[in-house]
Formats: sequence, C-alpha cells, structure tokens
Amino acid sequence: MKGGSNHAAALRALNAADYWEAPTIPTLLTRLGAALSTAHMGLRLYVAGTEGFIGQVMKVGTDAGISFLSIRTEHRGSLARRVSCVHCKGITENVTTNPATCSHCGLTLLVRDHYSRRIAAFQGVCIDAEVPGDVPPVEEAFR
Amino acid sequence: MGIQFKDETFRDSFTFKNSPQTIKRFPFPFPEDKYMYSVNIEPHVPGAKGSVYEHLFDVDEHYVSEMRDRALVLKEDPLRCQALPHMMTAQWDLLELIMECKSKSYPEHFTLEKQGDKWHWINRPLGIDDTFTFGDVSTLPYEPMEYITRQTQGDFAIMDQRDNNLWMDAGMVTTQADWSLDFDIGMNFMEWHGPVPLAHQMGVFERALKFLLNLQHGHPVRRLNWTMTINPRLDTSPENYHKWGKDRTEVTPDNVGDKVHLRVELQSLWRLPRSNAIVFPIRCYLIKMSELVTEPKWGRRFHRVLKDLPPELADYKGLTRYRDTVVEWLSKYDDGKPTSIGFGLD
Amino acid sequence: MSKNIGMQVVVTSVKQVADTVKCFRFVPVDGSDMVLPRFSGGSHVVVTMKGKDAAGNTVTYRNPYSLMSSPDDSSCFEISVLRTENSRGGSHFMHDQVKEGDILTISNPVNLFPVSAGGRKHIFIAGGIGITPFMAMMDALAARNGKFELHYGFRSRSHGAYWRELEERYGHSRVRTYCQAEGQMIDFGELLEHQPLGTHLYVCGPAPMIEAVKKSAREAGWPDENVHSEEFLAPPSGQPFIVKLKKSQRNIMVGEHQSILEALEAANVDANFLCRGGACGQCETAVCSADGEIEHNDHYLSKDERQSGKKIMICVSRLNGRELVLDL
Ligand SMILES: Cc1cc2nc3c(=O)[nH]c(=O)nc-3n(C[C@H](O)[C@H](O)[C@H](O)COP(=O)(O)OP(=O)(O)OC[C@H]3O[C@@H](n4cnc5c(N)ncnc54)[C@H](O)[C@@H]3O)c2cc1C
Ligand code: HEM
Ligand code: FES
Repeated sequence: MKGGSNHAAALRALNAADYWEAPTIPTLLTRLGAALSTAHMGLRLYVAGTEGFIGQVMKVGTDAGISFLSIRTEHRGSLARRVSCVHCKGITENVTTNPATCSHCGLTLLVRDHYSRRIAAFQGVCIDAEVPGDVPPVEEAFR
Repeated sequence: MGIQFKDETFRDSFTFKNSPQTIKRFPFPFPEDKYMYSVNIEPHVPGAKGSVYEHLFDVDEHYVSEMRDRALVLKEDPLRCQALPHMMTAQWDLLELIMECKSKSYPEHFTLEKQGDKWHWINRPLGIDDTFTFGDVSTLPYEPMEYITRQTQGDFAIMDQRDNNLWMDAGMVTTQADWSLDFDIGMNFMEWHGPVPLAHQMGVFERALKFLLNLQHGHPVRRLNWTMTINPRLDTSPENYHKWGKDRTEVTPDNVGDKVHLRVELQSLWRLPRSNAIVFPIRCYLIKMSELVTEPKWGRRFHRVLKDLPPELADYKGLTRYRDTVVEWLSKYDDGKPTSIGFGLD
Repeated sequence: MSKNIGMQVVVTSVKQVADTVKCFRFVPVDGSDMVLPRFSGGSHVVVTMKGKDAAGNTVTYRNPYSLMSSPDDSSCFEISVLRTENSRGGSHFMHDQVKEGDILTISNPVNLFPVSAGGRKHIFIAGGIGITPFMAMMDALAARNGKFELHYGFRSRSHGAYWRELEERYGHSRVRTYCQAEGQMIDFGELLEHQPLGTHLYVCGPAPMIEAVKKSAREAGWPDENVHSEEFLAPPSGQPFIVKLKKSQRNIMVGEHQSILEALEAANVDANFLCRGGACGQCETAVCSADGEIEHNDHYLSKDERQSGKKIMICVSRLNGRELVLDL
C-alpha cells in the first residue's frame, strides 16, 4: 500500500507480471479478486502483513477456489485482530485490547483465540453477560 | 399405541418437565464416579426396548414442543441453519436417512412412500403431508437439510471429508451448548475443537479424527457428552449469551432441584452414502436435578462427578459460578454407599 | 465392526469388455430384503472369493475392486477386473471361475478416492484398468453438471475397456483417449496448462504413471492439495516368515504369496482392515520386535513412522527376515 513505503521503486524495478499500489485494503482485495477470477492453476498466493490483512486476502483466495492449505503466509507488523461479534455479527477492525468494545452493538467483548477463516476474524463474546458491568480491566493484548 | 406428545416451553415460562417414564429412560452419561474426556465411541446399534437407544433416531414426548422452539429460534436468527453450496448431495443423503429410519421405527407417526424419485412423506405429529421429487430442491419448501431437521429433534452438523480432515460445511444448530455454527462453519475437526481444554494434549482428537475418517456406511457410531444448563433452555447459544448468561447467577440452595439441569448429548456419527460426507446428529436430553435424584445411583454418582470435576472442565462448561451450590444440594442424596461400575441401575 | 465383510450378492452377468478385462454385475440375493447401498464415485468393495490353490486346498482371496456402475442406480453394482499376469489367484479366480448365478460376498462400499466436493473442475487421468473409479465419478458429476475431462491411456484399442462408450457418452471435448499401440501418449505438461483455479487432478493407473503425473503437477506449480491418486496396490510377495503374536501367544507362518493379514485370517485371528491396499490405516499394528527388515509397502505411514520400526500395515507390508513379533 501507498504511504510509508520507500520500497516502491525497488519493487517496481523487479518487473512483476502485475504490480499495483493500492490506496486501501478494500481496493486491493477487489482488484485481487478480479485478477484471480481469470487465473490458472500454477498460480500460488503468498501473503505478508497483519493477521487481519492475511485473513482477508486468504478469503479472497479461497473464494477463487484456492485451497487455503496451499497459501503461504508470513505475519508482519501489528498483532491487532479483526473481531467478529458473535451477538450482532459485526466486524470490529484493529482490535488491540482485551476486552474490547463491539463497534456495532456496543457490547463489551472477550476476544477469544477462536479464529474463523471464512469470516477472517477472531470471535468476540460478551464478557459481562452473567453479571452486567462486571468487566475486568482492559489490557493491551494484541499489539 | 403412539407417543403422547407434551405441550411445553423451553423459554420464558419454562414449563418443560419429564414424565416418570421419560426420567427412567434418561441417558445418564457416567459409567463411574469420576469424569474425564476420552475417545468414548461405540457402535450405534439398536438398544433395549424403551431406552433412548431402541431406535437409531429417538423420538420422545418433547418432540412437538422442541420443534416449535426450533422454529422460533430460526425466525429470530436464520443463520442457525446454513449449508455451503457443495453440500447439496449430503443434504439429500441426510433427508433420506432420517425419513427411512423414522418411518421404520415409528410407522404410527411417520410414513414414507417412494415411487422412483417421487416421494410421499407424512409426519402426523406435526401435521405434514408432502409429495416431492427426490433430488429436486424446488419441490420442497426448504432445502432438504432444513426441511427434515425442522422435523427432527437434535442439532445436526454435516462434514465434508477432504485433505484427510473433516470440514463442518453444513448444519442446523438451535439446541447447542454454547457454540456458534455461523462462526464454526467451514472449519476443520481440529479448528472447531480448538476451545476444548486438555483433550488435545491427551490425543483424544487426533485418535477420534483418524477413526472417523474411516467411518463406514452402514456402521454408525455414537458417544455421549454432557454439560449443565440453568432452566430448561434448549437454545443456549453464544449468539444469545448476553440474554441467558445471567441465569447462571440465579441458582440458590432452594431452587437447584427445579432450575438446574443435567444436559446430555447423544451424538451419533453416520457416513452418508452418495456424498461420502459424515453427519453428526447431536441429540439433547435435559433432566432437572429433582428428577435426576429419583434414581439413587444417579444422585450419588453425579454428586461425586461434579465435586471432583477438574476445574478446567468446569470452567469450560460454564459451571463454576454455581457448582458449589449444586454439589452441596446433591450431597443430601449421596449416602456414601458404593456405586456399581457401568450404566446399570443399583 | 472393522470386519467389513458385509453382504451376499448374486452375479447376474459376466462380460468380456476388453482382451483381459471382465465386467461383473452383482444384485442382492433373491428373496433377501437387502437393498444395495448408494455409494459415492471412487468407492470400492472388497470381494471375498473362495477358491482352490494348485494343491487343491481351499484358499480365500479378498481383493478390493472399484465400483464402476452409476452411483444413482441402486439396482446393481458393477466391477471390472483385469486378469493380472502373476496373479496369486484372485483376479484369475474372478476370470476363470466366477459365472452367472454364483454367489459372492462383498463388503460395504468404502471411498478412499473421493471427488473433491468443492472443486471447480476435475481432470481424470486413467491408465489401463485405472479407468474404473472414474466411471462412477463421471457419472455422478455429469448428473449434477459438474465440469470434468478424462484423459485415458491404454496399450491397444482391444486392451482398453469402455473407451468407445465413454467417448460416445461424454463427447470428445470431455473424453480423450490415448492408444499406446498407435503411438499416442498423454502430454501431462500440456494438459496441466491453462486450467482454471480450483481445478482438481486425479490419477489412477500404474505406479510410474502416477509418479509422472505428480511430478508434472509439481513442476507446473500445482499444490499437493489439488492432486489425488489411487494406485491398485496388490500385496507383493516375498520370502515366507513367522509372525509371533505377543498377546495371544501364537506363531503363524506367512507364506510367500500371502499377506500378514491373510495369514492371520487363515488362522482365525481377528484383525482390522478396510482397504487391504495400504491406504486407509485401519490395519496399523504395533511391532514389538523384528528379526529382519520390515518392507513397508503402504501409502499410509509417514517416513518417521517407518523408520521407527514400531508400526506396520499388515495388509501390504512384510518382513524380509525370520520372525516378526506383533502386539496382537
Ligand atoms: C482401492 C483399490 C481398488 C482396486 N480396484 C480395482 C479394479 O477396479 N479393477 C482391478 O482389476 N483391480 C483393482 N484393484 C486391484 C485388485 O484389488 C487386485 O490387486 C488385482 O486384481 C490383482 O489381484 P490378484 O489376486 O489376481 O493378484 P495378486 O496375487 O494380488 O498380485 C497382483 C500383482 O502382484 C504381482 N505378483 C504376484 N505374485 C507375484 C510373485 N510371485 N512374484 C512377483 N510378483 C508377483 C504381480 O505383478 C501381480 O500382477 C484395486 C486395488 C485397490 C487397492
Ligand atoms: C465429527 C463430528 C463432531 C462435531 C461436528 C463436533 C463438534 C463439537 C463442537 C462444536 C464442540 C464445542 C467446541 C467449542 O467450545 O466451541 C465440541 C466439543 C467437544 N467435542 Fe466434538 N465434535 C465432533 C466429534 C467429536 C468426537 C468424535 C469426539 C470424541 C472424542 C469429540 C469430543 C469433544 C469433546 C470432549 C468436546 C468438549 C465437550 C464438553 O466438555 O462439553 N467430538 N465438539
Ligand atoms: S487395510 Fe487399509 S491400510 Fe491396511
């Protein structure tokens, strides 16, 4: 992505079959989906980035018919999580704390280690369901 | 002579209870006075007359009311029933399996007539009489899995088998012990079992998976699992946890007998013939503590199991907040006498 | 329950379908209320045959054969059997002894070679008798408009079974045949080019063909997850040796043309099995000690497991030596 990348010139010089600097992750995913829809077997997908980013790219890949077992990934950057609220199903991006607040329904969520590739997110479950308001201190858990 | 179906609720007024005959056939899950995870799989063959094992798909007095509760859950949250597109053949396999079994086991309640691919299905307890073309989705009011599981007690997960693993690619899940189909759909055997404590390290899942990959058509197997539920609530979903979670704080020494339930899942596993998929029906049986202790061996044994349950398991099953209260209540029914090994009554 | 020996069927037709291939049709025994189960494409059944050896003694053969009839037709099962040259008896028994009206015992269908349900397109590569599992797979795919192509190689037009009917049924765009006698060869590299993402490749045939296809696929960048194979492995024979059963304290001789599994069965020892071809893992047995070298002929154990010498797949693997002690 643009910004903060002083590697652009070096990367461009590698003369890849296709090189594109996407302004945002959603635009990158859309373009990747289009490229994969006409791609052939033999194409392999390699992804490096944050967990949330890897998850979203994997999803575009698997939707295009690639077995996730064949996708190579390397984690780089922050450990911030994408979190899916099990109650309202809303996705909250860039979650670094546990518990965290659902950006859709406002419930306070315990971020579990349970991960769904299909949704590309970790599961968030209401932390004070049994005794409302009984919330442990917020910790920086995923940086 | 058919089953007398009860009219009762599993939410709000919570009028569910078991008749004395149904208490007698409760699948009490503990063969000894302690409990730990194991690969407790055995052939799913018909068992003693009157028991929950007599028929491979058990129908009991709660059938009609359970189906009404399922319809309510689905109305509020359609994501409880989902199937990935490649599971259509497996859906038809499941429909056939259930219709064949139930019409053979309970001819007074269910009838299946086949003429080639023209099928006629009658479900008398639910007042359903449909003709459809096997294999043609447009001739049914729902997709085949949803159609038949709206008429069958228990949750269902269907697994595709590939890459030496099982993938949960379809399911109907409205009577679950706190797991989400919408979140887990598409996961493999190890992934959806991720949250379970201790069992991974014990090699339970590795051995169970190896076994299941070789499961043969015509040789279903079963296992029992258990947890506890406050109030006879079938739908203890994570989706609604923020609504039912506070029930766990409402257990007092005075209400244990009526409010606290042992929840047993009779899980079976079947290879499906056309799709090579595996279906996993998870049939839930609830029993109140006051009903459970009418059988002295059960009262004694459950007291001991619950008292000594490893804390990891108690936490995972969500019992921690009320365990002590229930153990104290059960202690009145444990005179310290020895219990016999196995499921037989003393 | 692992004694997957199953059901009795009547042979209702035996047809010579190529120089050395016969097709057998089975239906349930008259008057029984048994119905044949449906099955999925790629499944096989284990056929039990009771024959006589050269000395006139009764011997039991159990061989797996792929179901090639339509999975949607529950009125009959069909298998096709190649008469192998150095048979210990099984395929010769099927060819020389089995006639219409005979009763055979077959297992329930088992599938160790399924079509990948989520695949976008399926490419089948068959060599010789390796065509059989694909017949049922294609039938099932065609019924639900699945995309597939078949590339089928055989020695000569008269050796190859079913090629004419397959061409007629599915058309030349989906079925390509390659006749070795006419100098036609499958160019694996070319056929793997330009296949859409999500394509799965399946190969069934002689071992060298499977190896060649796997190698080409790897070179073309295909992930292993998309490449599936089934080899019709038969238990290779070797020198006789003794199997000692530690728990039941018995000594059993394994003859040169017998597998350990067959020797145990002949001695009425209950042993688990499913595929009898080294693929399913059911017959895995713990080795206590081996006086000699274990010849691992299976597709199941990992390299490490083999090297450990602690496990053996008794349906296909043997001992090159004197005595093998098993934890049975
Ligand atoms: C999953 C599966 C599916 C199968 N499907 C089919 C099918 O659809 N059709 C089909 O025809 N077969 C199929 N087979 C193979 C089949 O099961 C038998 O292996 C085959 O018919 C040969 O059996 P046999 O008893 O005649 O020969 P075996 O005695 O078992 O011998 C087979 C081969 O072993 C070698 N051999 C035997 N004895 C000796 C010796 N003394 N010295 C050296 N080499 C020797 C020979 O090369 C011979 O051809 C399948 C196998 C598997 C595992
Ligand atoms: C293939 C079909 C199966 C499915 C679909 C399935 C599904 C599940 C699910 C969804 C959970 C809840 C996990 C969570 O907390 O989110 C679970 C728990 C569990 N499963 Fe399975 N399972 C299957 C087979 C098995 C088998 C064969 C075993 C045998 C050992 C097993 C053992 C367990 C155990 C021990 C738990 C923890 C239960 C508890 O303590 O309440 N499962 N399973
Ligand atoms: S029986 Fe399948 S590996 Fe031996």
